[in-house]
Amino acid sequence: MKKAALSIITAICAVTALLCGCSASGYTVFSEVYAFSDDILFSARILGGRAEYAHERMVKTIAEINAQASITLSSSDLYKFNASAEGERVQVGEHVYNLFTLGAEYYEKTNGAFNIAAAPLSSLWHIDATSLGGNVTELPSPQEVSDMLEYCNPALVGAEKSDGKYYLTKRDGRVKLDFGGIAKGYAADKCVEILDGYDDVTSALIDISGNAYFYGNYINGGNRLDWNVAVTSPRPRKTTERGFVCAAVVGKDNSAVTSGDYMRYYEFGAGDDKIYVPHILGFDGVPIGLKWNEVTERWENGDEYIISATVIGESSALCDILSTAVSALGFETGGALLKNSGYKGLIFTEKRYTIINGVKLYKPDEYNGFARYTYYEL
Amino acid sequence: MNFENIEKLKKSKPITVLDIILLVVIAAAIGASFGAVYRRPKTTVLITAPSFSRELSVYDDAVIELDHITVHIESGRVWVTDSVCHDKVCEHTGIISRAGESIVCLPYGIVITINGRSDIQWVIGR
Repeated sequence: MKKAALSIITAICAVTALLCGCSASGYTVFSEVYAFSDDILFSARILGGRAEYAHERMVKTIAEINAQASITLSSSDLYKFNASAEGERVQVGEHVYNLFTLGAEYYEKTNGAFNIAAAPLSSLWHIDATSLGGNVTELPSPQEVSDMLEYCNPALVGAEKSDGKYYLTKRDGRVKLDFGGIAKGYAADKCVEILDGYDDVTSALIDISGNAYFYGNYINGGNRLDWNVAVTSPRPRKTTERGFVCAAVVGKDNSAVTSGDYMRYYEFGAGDDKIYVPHILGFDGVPIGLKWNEVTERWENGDEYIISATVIGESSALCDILSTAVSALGFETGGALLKNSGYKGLIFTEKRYTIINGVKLYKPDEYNGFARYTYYEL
Repeated sequence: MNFENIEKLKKSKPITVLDIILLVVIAAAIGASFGAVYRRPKTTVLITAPSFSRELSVYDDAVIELDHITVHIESGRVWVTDSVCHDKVCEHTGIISRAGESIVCLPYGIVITINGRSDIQWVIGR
């Protein structure tokens, strides 16, 4: 009987061990930390023996990028550049140089829809980080916008690399750069490079305020799975239950980024005249969704504009760029840009939606907010 | 057919009370293991802020007034009001109710997350 009992106990231990392995995920969940001053939160869940070391290095790298590229930090390279005079050669860090060259490249590729030199326009429209939500009493005129658009061009900045040092020079004193539309994605890609250096990290989820990266497969119970990622519904606005517009299946080693007027917008005017001003500028320098009424000489909300654009692909920086560019270009033109890029995505307007390059939806019957919209094949 | 073994079996001790107790203990251990591993964890709301952290059940209605924001929990739904920040992103988030969803007040470092079992690994577009 002793032998039998021992065998039974051994069997139970084995089974329990197996069951425990199938339960809790085993990821180290790190508390959120601020990155990029007070504006951005960095979240991470890492599976691997040296998760803490990897996390620490990622936090340091993000802080390093912020120290160079923050538009508000007065000691940053970007701040110094923006305050510099025409012709003044400003030494900047490698991250700023990289952000600039990537941003300038995609300004060309998206015909200006993605614009790192739009900071003066953001201020003009009160949609820059410091003024968003403040009391706006006046909106600019179309003329003011088009005059300003002329010098909101990265081509008016000279970039130089020599002797391991990097420099930016203004060719027009009015130019101001802002890496807000690319920095988070760039930082996420740098974090992925760090994770690559740790062989024992087999899976991780990192998120820099909405720029998410899914490193490796999702590992659960010894199974390697795709990640199920829910996308918040952009409507209805304000304090009502929105739930998810859908849940997308994201394969290993992909980033997912959503751009939209979800929460970052402000209201201007009152009553029938009230309009919503999203924080995303169109390629014409006007926030998406606004159009000028020649008769009333006022800005109005347009018929159709992108309220949510989600991009999924290998580079978080490119996902960041494309989600902004797609929103700026509108449903059809933006959809075509995304299609040609090879990256996947979902684009929503108030009325319709489309799926680009075959995004698989997870449990579409349950996560079915998208069913409110009409599907449109581009 | 090994007759010697059959004879040995016939002569082995019958099951005693101690054996039964052992079997019961083993069965209980199996049950506990299953319970520990497969027990459905409660869905909770985790509120963190600098020097403050509180986890509550999402099913216990409550109104939590923090310095910069008020958190409401009602029937498994969570939202915030009375935020003192200028952009009101947290209020614009609306009502959250599913594991993985969160409301964030960046200027004051307040994060409200719903934790629980979910087949969704992450939520974007917050």
